[in-house]
Amino acid sequence: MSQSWLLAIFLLPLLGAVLNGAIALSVAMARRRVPAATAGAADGSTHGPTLGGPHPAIRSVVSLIGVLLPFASAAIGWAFFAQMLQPAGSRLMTVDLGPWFSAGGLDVHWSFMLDPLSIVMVLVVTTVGSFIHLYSIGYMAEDAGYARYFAYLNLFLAAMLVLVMARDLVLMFVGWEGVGVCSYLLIGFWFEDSVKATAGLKAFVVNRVGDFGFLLGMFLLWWSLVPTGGPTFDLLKLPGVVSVLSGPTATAIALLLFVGAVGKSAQIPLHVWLPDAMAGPTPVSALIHAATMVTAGVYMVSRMHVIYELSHYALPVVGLIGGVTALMAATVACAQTNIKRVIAWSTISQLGYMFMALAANSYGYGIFHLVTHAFFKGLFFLSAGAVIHALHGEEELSRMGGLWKVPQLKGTAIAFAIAALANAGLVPLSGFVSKDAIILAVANHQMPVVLALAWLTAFLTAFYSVRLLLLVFAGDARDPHLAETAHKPGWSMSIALGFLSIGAVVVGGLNWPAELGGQEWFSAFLAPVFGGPVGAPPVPEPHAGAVVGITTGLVLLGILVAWLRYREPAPTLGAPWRGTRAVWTFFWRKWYVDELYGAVVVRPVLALAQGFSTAFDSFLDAVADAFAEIYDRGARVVRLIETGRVRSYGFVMVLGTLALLVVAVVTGRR
Amino acid sequence: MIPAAGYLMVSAALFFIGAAGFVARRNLFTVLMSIELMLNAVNLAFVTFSRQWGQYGGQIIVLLVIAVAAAEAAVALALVVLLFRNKETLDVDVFGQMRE
Repeated sequence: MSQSWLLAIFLLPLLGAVLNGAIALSVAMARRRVPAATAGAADGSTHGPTLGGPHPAIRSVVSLIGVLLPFASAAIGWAFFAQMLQPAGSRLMTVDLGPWFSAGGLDVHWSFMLDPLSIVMVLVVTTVGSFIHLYSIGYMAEDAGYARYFAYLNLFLAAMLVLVMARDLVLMFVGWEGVGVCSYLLIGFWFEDSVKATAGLKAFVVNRVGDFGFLLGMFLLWWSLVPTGGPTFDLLKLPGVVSVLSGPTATAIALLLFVGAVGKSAQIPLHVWLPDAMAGPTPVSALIHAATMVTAGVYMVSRMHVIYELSHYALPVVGLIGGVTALMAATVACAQTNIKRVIAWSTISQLGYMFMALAANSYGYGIFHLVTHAFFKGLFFLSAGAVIHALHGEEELSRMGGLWKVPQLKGTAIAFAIAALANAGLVPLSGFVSKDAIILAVANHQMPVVLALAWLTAFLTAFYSVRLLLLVFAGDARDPHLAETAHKPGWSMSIALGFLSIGAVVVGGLNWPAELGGQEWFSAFLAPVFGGPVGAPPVPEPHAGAVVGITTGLVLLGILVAWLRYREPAPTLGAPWRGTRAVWTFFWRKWYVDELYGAVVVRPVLALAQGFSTAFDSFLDAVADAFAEIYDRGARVVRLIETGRVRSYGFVMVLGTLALLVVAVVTGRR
Repeated sequence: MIPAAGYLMVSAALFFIGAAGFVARRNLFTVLMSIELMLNAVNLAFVTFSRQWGQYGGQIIVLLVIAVAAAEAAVALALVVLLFRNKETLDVDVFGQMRE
């Protein structure tokens, strides 16, 4: 297969976005015309199913385009992967489509590449993404914006693939912004609801802060590479040239880039947008806000790891932010009462783990957790989506419970349990493998604070995962009527749940830790990218047995505590034990970070804007009004001589002539 | 020989009679005749100066003015007929639509 085929990986979803976008536009235009014509008609029932879902024919076409193209792109990705696995096969493929722009010494090309890191990202994005697309057929079937939804989702896939396949940092930024836009569009997908539209806006604005850091980091990188004579953003050439950077410069660049990662991957202090992003449809939460886009920050830091390694401070900062975020988000997840919010906070927490791995120089483990997380967190969201769909859109835990007894939801319950336990890190599910590897790496790297944070988070993760599982499925239904009317997930949703369930169980096998007798095949595959020794066996952590034992013990303890507390139908979702109400409220209110931002940033800015608006408005209004007044008064005067009578005009003419005559005589001009 | 001042006084008198008629009279025909009167007052002044200074430019202008005045009269009378057909009147003050 020719290397240029790698372009098809992102061009196919882009084609889907264009086609579905065209369909969505024409449907919208047709719909705008129809109500005007039929509004007066007595019976609106004769005019097809325009109110609920789209026309069945349109839905079929949209589904075919929107789902088959991502699967085709995934197939091409797997073909490239197979090629890479050949012993003689090249592990690096590049395509250069020629220059995009060049200014000064900056020469940006439309250049794409596939190396082991990129192909891993491509496979995760296209494979998990395709099944989430498939799932969406069932989940979104009744939505009026069906074609628009698939257009956005395809566009997201294309942007994400550009992000991970870009060979140039500028091109990576294009994908970076592209996924941000799609995230905004899909969070605010139901934009008639102002809360949801605002959530999209919040995600976009918070991400702007991070993107600004990313941009500054790029600028600084460029500026500090100028002395080398050949500054470049080429990701393949960068490792060769960055060694000229001094420590402080590298620290500044690394931290600025990390600000971008913090924004995209929802780490403290820019994590506030991700929980609100749950306003979007649940498959979107699974794809964008769990499996792919939010991991872009992890990918970017891994990609730029050479710069991070030049600095003494950057990676410890990354690890500390990741650790604190993981712990904080896990505590918040313990107290949430909305099914999707729990999972959203859990995502933030797991992303924290990935950054901890990067900080321990174990990029392979970070990326591996990204992969397993894509499976089990995608499954978590999709099975939660199946519950929400079955309960007619209900997301509040207070109206769930007892769903295990609903025969229609048995399959969903099993998928949900696999996801929750994988998320909890139970042996031997995928979540256990990748998380244990990270904790081992952190222990091996002598980072006691981060290790403590990771352990504490492991306990809390197990607790909230099982709490959520039990609150949804155990005991008696808190809303019997809702439970009775629950329906089975459709075929497309079931297939996606089945596939991801298998993935969430077995994917861990790819990188079974060396301490537990594994081969760490995945880390070895990525080793060339991260400059590790190829083929060398990984260094085992000396106290591996103790570390794994403590982690597993903490996980089991968390599961046990949650089981003891929530196995019976909990009468209240509030504080689980007496005396914990204050702490619980603190967690439930998300540590009051939103309130803090509201007081420190949002409200002052709004007040300032209001002030400017009032001041400038009144000033500009006064100026405009003054001109209007002048013209108005003048017009009133001039109107008087505009009589419309020929004789009066004649009279004025005569007077004028006389006046000229007088002037001529008096001044004596000839 | 009558001095040039005499001709000019007649010219001035004719002009002001015409101007007064143009401004004061309401009948369209009278207004038109007043315009002719002013034109001819000016013609008289031209001829007077032409003769006084012995230059022929003034007389040439007069011939031009007569020609233009004839054309103007033809157009104006046609307009008057049309106006009369529209409003059944020759009162100039009635034709004030331009103001609206």
